[in-house]
This record gives sequence, structure tokens and C-alpha cells, in this order.
Amino acid sequence: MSLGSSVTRGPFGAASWIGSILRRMDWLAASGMLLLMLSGVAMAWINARSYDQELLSLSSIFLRSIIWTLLGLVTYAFTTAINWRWIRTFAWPLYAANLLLLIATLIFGEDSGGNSRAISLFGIAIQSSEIAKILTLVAFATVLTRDNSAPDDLNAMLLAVMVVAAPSILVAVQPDAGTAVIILAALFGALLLYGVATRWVAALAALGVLAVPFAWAFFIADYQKERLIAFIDPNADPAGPKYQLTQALDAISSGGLFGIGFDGTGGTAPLPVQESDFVFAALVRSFGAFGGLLIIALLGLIVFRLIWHAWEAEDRFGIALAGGLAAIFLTQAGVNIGMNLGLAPITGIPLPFVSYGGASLISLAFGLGLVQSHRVHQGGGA
Amino acid sequence: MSSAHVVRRPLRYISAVLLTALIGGLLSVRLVAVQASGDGARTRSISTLSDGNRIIEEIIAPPRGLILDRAGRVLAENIATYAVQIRPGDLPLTIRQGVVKRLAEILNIDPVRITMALDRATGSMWEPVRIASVVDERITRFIEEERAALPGVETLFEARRAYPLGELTSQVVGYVGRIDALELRVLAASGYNELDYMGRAGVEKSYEEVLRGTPGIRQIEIDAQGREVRELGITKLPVTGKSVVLTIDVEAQQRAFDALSWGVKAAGNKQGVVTSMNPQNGEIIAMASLPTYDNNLFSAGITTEQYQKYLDNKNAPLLNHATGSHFPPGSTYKLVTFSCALDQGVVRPQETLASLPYLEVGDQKFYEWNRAGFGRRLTPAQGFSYSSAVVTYQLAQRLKIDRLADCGRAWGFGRPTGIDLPNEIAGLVPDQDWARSAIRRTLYDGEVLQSALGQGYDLATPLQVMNAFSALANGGTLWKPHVVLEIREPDGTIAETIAPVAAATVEMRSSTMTEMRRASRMVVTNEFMTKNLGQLPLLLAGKTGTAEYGVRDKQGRLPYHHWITGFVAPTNGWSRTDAEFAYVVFMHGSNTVSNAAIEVLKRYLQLQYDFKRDYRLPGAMSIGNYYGE
Repeated sequence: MSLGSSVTRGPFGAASWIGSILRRMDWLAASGMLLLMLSGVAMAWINARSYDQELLSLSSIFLRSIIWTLLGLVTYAFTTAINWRWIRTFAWPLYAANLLLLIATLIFGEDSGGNSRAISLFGIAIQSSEIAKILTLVAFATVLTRDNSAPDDLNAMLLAVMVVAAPSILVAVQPDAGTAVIILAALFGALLLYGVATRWVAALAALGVLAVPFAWAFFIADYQKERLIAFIDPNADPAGPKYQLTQALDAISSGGLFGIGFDGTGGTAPLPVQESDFVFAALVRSFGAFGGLLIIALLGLIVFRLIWHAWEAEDRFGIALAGGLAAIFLTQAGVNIGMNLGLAPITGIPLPFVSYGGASLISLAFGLGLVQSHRVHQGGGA
Repeated sequence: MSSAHVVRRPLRYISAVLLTALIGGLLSVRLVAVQASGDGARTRSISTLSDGNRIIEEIIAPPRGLILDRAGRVLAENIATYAVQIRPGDLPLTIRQGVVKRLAEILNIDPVRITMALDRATGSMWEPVRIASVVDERITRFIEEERAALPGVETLFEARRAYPLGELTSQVVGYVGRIDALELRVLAASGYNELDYMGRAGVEKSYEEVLRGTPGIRQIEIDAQGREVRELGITKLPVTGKSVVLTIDVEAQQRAFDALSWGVKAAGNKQGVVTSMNPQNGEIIAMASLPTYDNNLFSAGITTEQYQKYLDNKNAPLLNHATGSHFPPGSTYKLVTFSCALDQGVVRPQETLASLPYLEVGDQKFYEWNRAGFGRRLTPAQGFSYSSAVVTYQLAQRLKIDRLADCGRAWGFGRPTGIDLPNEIAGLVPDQDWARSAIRRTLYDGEVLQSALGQGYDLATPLQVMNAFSALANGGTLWKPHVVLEIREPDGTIAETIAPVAAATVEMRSSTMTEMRRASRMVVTNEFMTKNLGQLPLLLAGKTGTAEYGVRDKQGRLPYHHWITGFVAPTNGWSRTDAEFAYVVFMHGSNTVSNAAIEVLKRYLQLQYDFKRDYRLPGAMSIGNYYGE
């Protein structure tokens, strides 16, 4: 804490000493993330084989998954090492860049499998909505803590809602209603732990409920409605989303306690989008109920650690950041695994670190890294 | 320090932790529950579903709707036929040759064809390979009897489209054909599959969505090799397509068809059209186009040779020439020129114009059709009734091409009429804009004169020509002609009645319309031109046409088509607008000594209006050097 004098002047302020970083780091959360990433690579290997891909070619999801995971780890390490206060000074340029990217996606974006849209940058398809989640979180965590005065509930809330509204709408019209919901969940989680008066939290929740019919009319695409209807009434359209769910449940029940093994691809048909949306079902098929429970436990661990960090945080930015990120992880994991198990409607929300996808992996690694940085570079004023 | 402002509400942290634990717990319990109970789709028990098995959904084709004539006679129906297929996985390779040989004997086909079909199959070895379609039921019984000796050979029941009246109505009814791989990519989303048929021509095509019905879905379980293990049930029942009732009555169609068949035979030409409609509502009464084709061949799976034969025939039997071919409309187009001149006021009805042997434009002489003129001055109506080219030229010179083209479009030329049949074409009304873009120059004065005669660049479908005279008969309404009267539910109740739709109104004064109806009546009563046509016991009106086309012969003469079009006026006067019968007869390349279309029309009207006397003139249909109009 005595090192906090030059904190805002350079990237490596308070804890430039590597030993200090390693000592203060939350190793539980880091191990959870690492294990999830490893299972993601393992699933990419299995899926690449079941799609008959050449494993070591650049187009195989296996090799690509390894590259993305390494990049994710580098991002995580850098973000952890760098003082979060310095990163926070870039919150607004990043937020603006994020909005531009979302607008560009709307204009130039390509449909990537009906779930959400991607924009091609330097030959790599980027799911801009994944990046939007984290950058919006950083932006509204910044706006909530814009000065050191006592929190003014209403003003803080209105500002945060405004910051969240623009990316949420841009994402929702992609159409990626699922990610829009996650962004709103992040706002809700941040405000909840941040300590905003209960009436405002309740008002926000009520607003969310009231928004449902509005979203149904304007932002939810027909195929998404079909999925929701299929979820509510499983007999509505047996050829559509219900069929995907049937396939997923079949895969899960065929997994047994320990799964059909690493090499469990022989003779089984690939599930619909088993590298992303239905990766959990494919994972249970390969590693059984044991593997599935382990994934749930690891994700739960990360959420608990984030809530714990919010509790321990010495400043409001840390609370908002950790609370929002906890909400993101909880919602994504809950919706994705829930849909694999027939408990939630089918949406294109990836399972953190396990689903294949560079943008999601790097964004979440960045988010966790930022929380780690906040932990490591605690103290010395905000 | 900022920590001073931090508000901690322990209850919220506890709630957040509990919520996380609750969600994690719920997911874990559900995961174990799915595992333990094998509660998959709830549509079947898990015990028989091994790892490799999958459930696939198969489409059940719905029965196609019927096509009926106005009186309810069946024009297109579904009949039961049988097909033979082989499932390669059930046919051991060691005995394949013998089985193929025996099956070829039973089916009376070349064994090489069976072997080739088996070798060419690319799917799974459990996917059946089609060997023969439309197989006699007797043959399927042979196969069933020899079941044991013919492993892998299967017979199956199929619905096929049948057209009891075949050639008589095929141009209107059309036919269905298999979907090819390319179309399937687009249509798969609408529930079509690779064994499906869809409308390819005629009403079968234009009313595909109505006739098709809604496919059903059957869930079947297949193993890893794609072999069907068992049926899990029908999750959606197919819905029979709706039936389509035509405006055409088969008896009326037969009259048009017979008259045309006689005409084509007598004149020795190959192509012709006879069609009629009701000017009051746009309903097509009959539509015959020759040559025609047997649509049953298509639903039975037409052979490549048969199909190629149709395609190679230069008279295009697969084409409905009434809507899908255009020709120079010849003097029938004078309706446009004369009505235009009258309506624009460039000529008065009582004004007389010179009818000289020729008109000189620049250094070129444009001759009257009889090369002699008519020896006196003619009013526009008289000029129309003599089909005078020289009078027409003078009107065209006063109108200029762009005004003439505007009038052509006002009568519906140059664009499809919008009839509910597929592949209708637009014809051509030339003007200077068209000429600049299509032939990269403006039209010469001589070409303008030709356009006024329905020659040169002018092109029109027989339907367009009839629709224009139908509008003349009803006082100016250009209907969208239609061949479908109503759509019926499978149980026979009316689902939809096709209401008449006006595509446009001919914007001309009613006095112009009346004068043109009078002129059209004069065409028929002018014995110099149409001989005994005026003696028919009908108040007939119309306009003849002779249209040159193609390449000059050794004597420098061009072959020509014959036209007659018009309407049967109400018995109390041609000036009224309640006529209920408009017609067109087109004889392609007839080259007869007198107008072959007139003779066909006489025969058609004799049959249609059932009069005893035959007004056809002997010798009229002999080939000759006809210079009439």
C-alpha cells in the first residue's frame, strides 16, 4: 500500500514487482479459468475430429482454439500486471471504439450461423457483441465512480443506464437479444452489489420485465421467437429448435457417469453447433456427468470469487467491475447450460471459455484480468 | 479515500451467493436427472437408442389438390402407381448379378440400366435406389411372390399426377416435374424434399402454393449407417392441397381445339392459337394452342428422348403460344393507329383521306396492300374496314412514332396482360427511346409507317391482341385475364373466388371507342374484305390481319401469319359495351389464298354458337399468294 504514490502515471504503478503480483493474485479464480480453458481445448480437439477436420491445419478449430487460448492467457497476464487505473483511463476511447465496431457490424457484418453477427477484420471474423459485453461493463463501472463524492443513487443509475443503452440496442438489433440481456444483467449485478438503494434496483428489475413485450415486438427475430415458443410449448414445431434440444438431451444421456471418453466420436453424429452453443452436451457425452458437474463447479467457483472480490474491494470501481462480471458469468453459464439441459430457451450464448470463439475468450480473459489487476494493485487511492 | 463512500449491503452479497448456488445446484440436479432417467425427447424410451442412433424427421408429401374445369370435370388428379427400388445394403454382392437379371426380366428392361443405377447411387448403402417408376400392379405382385429370391428389392406405393384429358388442356393445366438438386437448395425451407414434384408449367405452376398442401412430418430412428430402425410416429399430419376450378369448360375448350386442329390440318401449317374470353370479367372461355403435348408423359417420368423431341420441335409444343410467343400483330394493330388518330384529333371521323396505290416517303414508295388503291377517298372507319395501308400511313405520319407507341401501350401492348399463367411475355411496342437503346439509332420514317401496320418491330402475343379487343368491346377495361375461377377446399367448399381485376383502363374518349366498334363491325360486313363472314347469324365485329415475317422466297415474297380478332356484339347493337365473347384466331405461317384465321373462326363460332350452316369457303385454305389483309 505504500507503493501507491505514482499509480496513475504509468501502466505498472503499485505492484510492478512481479513477486507482489504473484503473491496477491487470486489463484483460485485463475485456476478455475485455466481448467475451463483446458476443457475448451479438449472439446475443440474432439469436435475437430468429429467434423473430420485436419487437426493441425489453420482452419481446424483445434489449432485455432489453442491459438486463441494462448492469446487469452497473454491478455490475462498483461491485464493483471498492468495497473487497472491506467487501463481505466482508456475506458471512454474503448467504449467509443466498441460502439463504432457494433455499428460497423450492423452495416458490414456477416451472418454467422443465425445466432449473431460477426465482422471480418484482417481476415478474422469477430463477434463484436462478445467484446461489447466487457467494454460496456468497464465503461459503466467507470461512470458510476466518476468522482469520489458520495454515491447519488438516481444520477449514477441514470448515467449507467444511458451508457448501457447504446450498445445494448446496437447488439439487440443484430439481432443478438441474448447478448443484450447479458449486458443488462451485468448492469443489474453491478448496481446490486454497488449498493444502490433497493427501490432503484427494484425499478430496474421492473423496467426489465416491462421491456419484454417491447423487445418481442421490435428486437426479437422470428427464429428467436420460434425458439422461445419451442421452449414454452415443446410440441409447437418438432422440426425446429425442439429437434436440436432432443439431440442435445440424447447426447447428454448417452454420456453416462464418465462419458464415452476422449475418443468418443466414432459413429456419433455431430450435434448442431456442438463447438459453441451445444458444447456442454458434447462435453457430457465425452466426459459424462462427472465432466459436466466439474464444469458447473468451476464456473460457480469463478462467480463466487468475483462476489468475494466485490466484498473485499476498497473502492466502488472494483465492486461494480467484479459485480458486473459475476453477473455476466452467472447469466452466460446459466443460460447456456440451461439450454443444453432443456431448462432455458435456445440462444446463441457461448459457455465461458469452453465454447469455441476468440472474441468471447479474449473478452472474458480481459475482464478477469482486470479484476485481478484491481486486486493486485489495490490501495493507493482511486 | 474512496473506501469511505463504499456502501456494503451484506444481504445483497448473501443473496448473490445464494442465487449462484441455486443456479449451480439446479443445473447439477437437472444434469444428473437427465442422465439417470435417460429422459431425452420424451418421445421414446432411451433403452433402445444406442450411441450411434439418431432420430431424423422425414417429410410426408401431402396429396396435391385437383384441377377441375368449370363444370367440375377432372383435369388433373392423383392416381395410385407403384415403384420398384433396391436397398443395396440388403442385396449381397455375391448374388447381385443374378438378382439384377431376374428383376430386369420381370420389369422387361435392360439389366445394364439396373446395374448402372446401383453403381451411380452415392448415398448410404441403406438408402433405396429407384429402379422403375409407374410400374403395373401386376408386376409388383410378381416381385412380391419372388420376395425370397430378390433380396433388397422393394416395391412401394406412390401417388402420381394424371391428366385424363391430356393434350386438350395441357397448355393451360401444365404439368408437374421432379425437383432438381439446385432448386431443392432454395425450396428445402418450404418443406420440399428430393423426391417431391412441383408445378412446372400452366396452372400447375402458377397455383403451386395452393395445390401443394402442407407436408407432414414423420419421425424415424436410424442407426449410424442411415438404416431405418423403426418409425416413432407422425408428428404432423399432411394437409391435402386445395383444388383449383378453371374458368374454362372442357366442352368450350374442345370446340376451340377442334376448330384449330381442323384449320392447321387444312392449311398445312403447324402452329396456331384459338382463344376466347369474357370481356365483362376477364375469364378465359377457351385457350387452344397447337402443337400441344401430352402432360401425362411428364408425371410418368418423361424419358430424355421424349423430352428432347419436344425441345427439338421448332414449333415449340411445350409453349403456350397464346401467352408465351409473340408475333407481328399485323393489321389487328390498326386498332391502335386508328383509335389514336381519332382520339388525338389528328383526323375527324367524317374526314376523308386519299386511297392511292402508294404513298411516297422520301424516294421510297409504300404500296397499298392491293397495289391499286380503292379508287375513292375513305373515312377512317372505311379505311379501317378496307384495312387500307395508305390511309394508315397518312394517320401514322400525323401521329409520329412516340404518340403511336403511347397509344399501343394504352391498349395493353408491350407489357404482359397479367394472366394467371406462367411465362407470359411482354411483346414489343417500338418508340424512339427503345430504338436508341436497342438498335442504337432512331427509327426511320418508313419504319414508323410499318409500326402503324403492326409490322416491322411490333410484336404482340395473341392474348394481348384479344385483350385489346376485349377492352374495345367493354368500353375500355383491360382485365387481367384469368383461367382460374375459384379455389376449393379438399371437401369441395369454396375457399376463394377469383375476382376480376382490372389491369388498366384505356384512356380514350367514349366517342372514339364507339367509332372503333362501328369500324370493327364494318370490317365484318365489308364483303370485299371478309366475304361471307358478315352472313354469320351473329353481330360479329373484329379486325383481320396478315403479318409478314421471316425470309423472302425466290420470288421475293415473305411468308405470312393470319389473324382475326374481335368480339361478338350483343344482339341489340355493336355500340353497346356488354358483349360477353371476345376472341382471337392466330394461324402461324399459313400462306393460304385467303385469310385462314377467318375460316378457323367460322368453324369455331359454328361449334360455339351451334348453328347448322357451315360458312367455310371451299378452297380458301389452299396455299397461294395471298395479298389480302
